[in-house]
Amino acid sequence: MSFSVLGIGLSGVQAAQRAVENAAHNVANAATDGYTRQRVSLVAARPMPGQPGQRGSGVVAVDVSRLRDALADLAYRSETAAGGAWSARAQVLHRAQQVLGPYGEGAPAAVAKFWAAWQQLSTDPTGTASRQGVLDAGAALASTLNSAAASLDRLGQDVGARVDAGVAEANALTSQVARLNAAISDATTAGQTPNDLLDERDRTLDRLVTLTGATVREADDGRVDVYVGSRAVVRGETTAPLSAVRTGGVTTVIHADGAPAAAGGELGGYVDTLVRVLPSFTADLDAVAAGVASAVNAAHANGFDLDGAAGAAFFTGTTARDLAVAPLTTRQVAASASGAANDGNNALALAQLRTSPAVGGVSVGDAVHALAGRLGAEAAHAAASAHAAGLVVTAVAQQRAESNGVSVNEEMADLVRYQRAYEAAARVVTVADELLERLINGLGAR
Amino acid sequence: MTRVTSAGTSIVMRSGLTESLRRVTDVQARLASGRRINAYADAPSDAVSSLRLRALETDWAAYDRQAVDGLGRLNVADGALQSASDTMRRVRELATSAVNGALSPTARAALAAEVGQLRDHLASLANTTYQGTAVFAGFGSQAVTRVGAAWAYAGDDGAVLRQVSPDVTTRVNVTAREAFGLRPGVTDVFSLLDKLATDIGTGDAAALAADLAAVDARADDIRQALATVGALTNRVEAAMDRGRDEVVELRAQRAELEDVDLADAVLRLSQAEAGYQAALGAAARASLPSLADFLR
Repeated sequence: MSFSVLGIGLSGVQAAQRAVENAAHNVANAATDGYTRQRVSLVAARPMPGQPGQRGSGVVAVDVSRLRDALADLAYRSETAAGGAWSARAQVLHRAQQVLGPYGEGAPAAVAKFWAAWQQLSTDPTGTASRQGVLDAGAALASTLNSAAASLDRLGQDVGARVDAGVAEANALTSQVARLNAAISDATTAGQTPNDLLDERDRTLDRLVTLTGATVREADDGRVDVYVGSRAVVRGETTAPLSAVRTGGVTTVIHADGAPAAAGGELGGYVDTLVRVLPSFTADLDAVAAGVASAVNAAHANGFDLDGAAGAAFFTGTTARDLAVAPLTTRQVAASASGAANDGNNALALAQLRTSPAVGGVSVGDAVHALAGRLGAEAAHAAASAHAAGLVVTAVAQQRAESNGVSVNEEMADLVRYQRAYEAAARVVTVADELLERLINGLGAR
Repeated sequence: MTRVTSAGTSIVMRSGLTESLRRVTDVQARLASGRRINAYADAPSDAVSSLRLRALETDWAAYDRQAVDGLGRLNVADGALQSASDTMRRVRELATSAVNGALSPTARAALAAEVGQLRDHLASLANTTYQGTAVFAGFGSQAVTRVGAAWAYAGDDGAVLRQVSPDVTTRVNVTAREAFGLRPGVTDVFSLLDKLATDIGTGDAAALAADLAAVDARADDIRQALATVGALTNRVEAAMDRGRDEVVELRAQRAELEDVDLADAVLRLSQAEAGYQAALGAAARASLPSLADFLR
């Protein structure tokens, strides 16, 4: 009968030891990113029937539970997907607004200087310097538009490369999730609670959601399925990798079977700028180039050059990329309206194009200013949204860390409690030992 | 239950420090450049307004240069026409004395010679140039030429235009056709003076009387041309003055949009810096003692 006291004491010692180990594990991981505190559940052992009542048989550690707040995870993941998308857009648009040149210079200034050069030519139609000045101002204007288009192209390529890298990272992450799913389901079916594996999977899922805006759903046996849009990229232990395809200079993300992926997060933000935003800027630039070329060429053709010939085309090319000044000599600039060499009135008419609606019903200057304003407004909106989303993500992350994380004070209190429990249980073993000794060596001793 | 964990605290601390520092660097960037708008995204609609103001300033600078050139041209024409008007007054004196008095042949010869010199002087005035172009010849290279005994207009009817404001594009020349009678149906002033010299020599009173009337008519032409030049000069000067005022106004508007208010920015900087110092201090104290420090 006394042997059961020994057993009870032993169970107490073992349980206290297990609890102290758990507290030590928590404390050791207090600074680990994404660590969820664990708690040992101690339960009174199954009582044995006896007289006068049921007899307790000690304590047993039934479970090491992981105190994870699933709602906080849901909230964090949805906010971080939105935050990832906005921050990707903000990055791209911040660079896009610089394509027109630094503020106060670049394309808007080049347009105004072009008209001023024609105006200067009208006061001195035979002067070689004024004629060369017009050719130079036209070349400067064309080159600001060329470099804007080239910068947008380069930006598109950079973003495409980021999409490629993002897709590769996403595929690596989905493989990792599948691998962890396998390990976790093995452990779960064996009756274990693989807490640290679950933590690692949650960290991986966090990054995957930020990157792709995926949604996570619980499956059976502790596995999770990950969906991008409505298609699964992880189902249990199998993955369906994403890939990046480039069509017409625009990179988009597709699933393994070729269907377009409705990606959110960073990938979604990058793809959105590639598909929607950057092409619209390029289209506006091209409209400006085409408008300038056709208006200037038409007015130039109305005039006569120094040799009495009608004005040839001043600009070649119709898009922002290939707009250039034709290889005219200074004598071929058609400044004269009547054919007389001293007549500068056609140059004046060209200068007066500054107010004529050459680009979609507005003047060239207004069109360029409107484009600059749009670039600025989009960049500002994306930056503000990214900042706001970032603050929300920080707040939700903090809430999650507060429910999942380790509080050193709590663990210290637990350590004290279980240390005392250990000491008391050890004392019980000693008492049981003394009782037994008395029983064995005292009763019936010779 | 609201727990406080070291993970949660560090997230808040990091985020707070980043925000504080961001506020400081934003204000610093504005103070360093002196401008509120350093990129289009800083204030998109203000940036567009400011770009428009900059373009207008460039335009007005071009209008001003045109006005200055136009005024130069008009002033030269005015000077030549004033001189021509004085010449015609002297011609009238000579013609009057030829009509009135009985003059000796030598006196008449002297008068005729002076008339000839005045005619040459008028011809050179008609061919005045401004920066290498003939002022009274439209787009031609010379206003008046002499072919044998006849005088001809060697220029064209071109109007030299200058745009001196967004809505004012004005002519800045008069031609010798208007000023010196080189037009069909009218005896030009040079042929007239030739005839006058001849008539003074012969002493034909009736012819001299007709010549005097014609001299008055040509003098009127010149006065008319002077009036035209005067009106054009006023127009150009008015536009130029308005333009210079306009540019001052544009610059002021642009400065209001673009420039940083120094006093305000310095105040914000010191506030942001104080905030950052406080955040740093708070972060330093975040490592409060825990229970672990008190257990043996």
